[in-house]
Amino acid sequence: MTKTSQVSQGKAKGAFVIMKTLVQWEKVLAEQIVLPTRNRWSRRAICQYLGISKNTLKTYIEKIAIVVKDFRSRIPKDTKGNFKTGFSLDQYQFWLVVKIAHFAALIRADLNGTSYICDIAQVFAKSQQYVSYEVFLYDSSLHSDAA
Amino acid sequence: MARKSSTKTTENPTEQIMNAIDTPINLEWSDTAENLNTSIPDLQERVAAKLNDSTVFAWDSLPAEHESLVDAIARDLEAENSVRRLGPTTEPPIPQPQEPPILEEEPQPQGKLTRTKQPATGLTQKRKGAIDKTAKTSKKLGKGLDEAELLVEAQRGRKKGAKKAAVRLVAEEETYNEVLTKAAIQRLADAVGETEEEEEFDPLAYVRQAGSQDVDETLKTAMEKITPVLGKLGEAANEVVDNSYSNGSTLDLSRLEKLMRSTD
Repeated sequence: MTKTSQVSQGKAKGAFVIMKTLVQWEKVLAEQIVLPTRNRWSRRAICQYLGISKNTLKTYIEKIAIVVKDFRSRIPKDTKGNFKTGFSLDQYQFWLVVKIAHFAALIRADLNGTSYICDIAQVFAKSQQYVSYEVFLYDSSLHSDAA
Repeated sequence: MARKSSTKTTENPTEQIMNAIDTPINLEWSDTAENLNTSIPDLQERVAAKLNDSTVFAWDSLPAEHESLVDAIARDLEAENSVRRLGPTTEPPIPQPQEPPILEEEPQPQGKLTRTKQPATGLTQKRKGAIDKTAKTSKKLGKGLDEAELLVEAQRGRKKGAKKAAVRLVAEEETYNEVLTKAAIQRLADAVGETEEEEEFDPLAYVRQAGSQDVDETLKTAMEKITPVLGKLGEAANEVVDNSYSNGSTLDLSRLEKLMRSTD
């Protein structure tokens, strides 16, 4: 197999992955998830709920969720104005992390072991309007009405 | 099978070291923020705004290729700080003039029987349009009426002025004729008196010779003609005087009065 054909195959695969990612992103958006409610969510509790490691959660928070403006604005800060480390999450931040985890779980198999964190971060950065605080409120109100 | 030599990668370690030295190092967020005297999130926000990419927050460090951005942010921060410095020091607070205290309106007692005013009901768009149209039409009509009144006043003024001018002209004409007649009579009388003093002088003969009537008859005829004219003249003069008073001006009528008296 020549190098050119390999490159073209790689491109085709990449395009397919992107298309599939978008479709999956739509799925994640449309998915209405019912979450337990807490005032604050500790990282340990989130790890237990999602069944992921602490490092993975840290990656989700510090590499993906942080690109969302509403998530950032809710991170507690120290006296110098820097983000506090190891902070607990509120209900909206927990909701966003759950969305990220679901999306990562969907896309992980397609990317076949390659790094997907940056791609997911890019997707969330470009689709902030779908994961804003208003959307979370709307989602929550739907569930409360249903309950 | 010959082994591949691994000397390719470690062929020239000096060159590799030099390359590594020349390679620019990425900027640490914490150091850069400290140099700029700002917080890391603030610096990241500024970089994200400049690059229009919010994934900046996920970066471990700031790539060296974006060093120019740091300079630009430093300039921005300096400008903002200079503006802040200028604010409170150079601009003293403007003294506000003391306003007189606003007295509260005394509450008016409301009787039990007084009706509470109902709030005005909202006008529909159609009604509002009709009201506006009517207001415009009435405004136009008012203007037209004003113009018509002005025209009528102008016509009245013209009529009045024509009457006054006619009266004045008639009075002048009559006075002129009267004075001329009087002067002619006076001259004739003087001439007759002078000639009567001379002996053997018969002025009537001259007159008759000239084909004229008797002097007495002439005088009589003249007086008959003059008297009604003088009567009209007097009336006209009185009207002129009245008009002049009503117009606010006074006339010097001493000569005319003198003339009038001379006829009596």
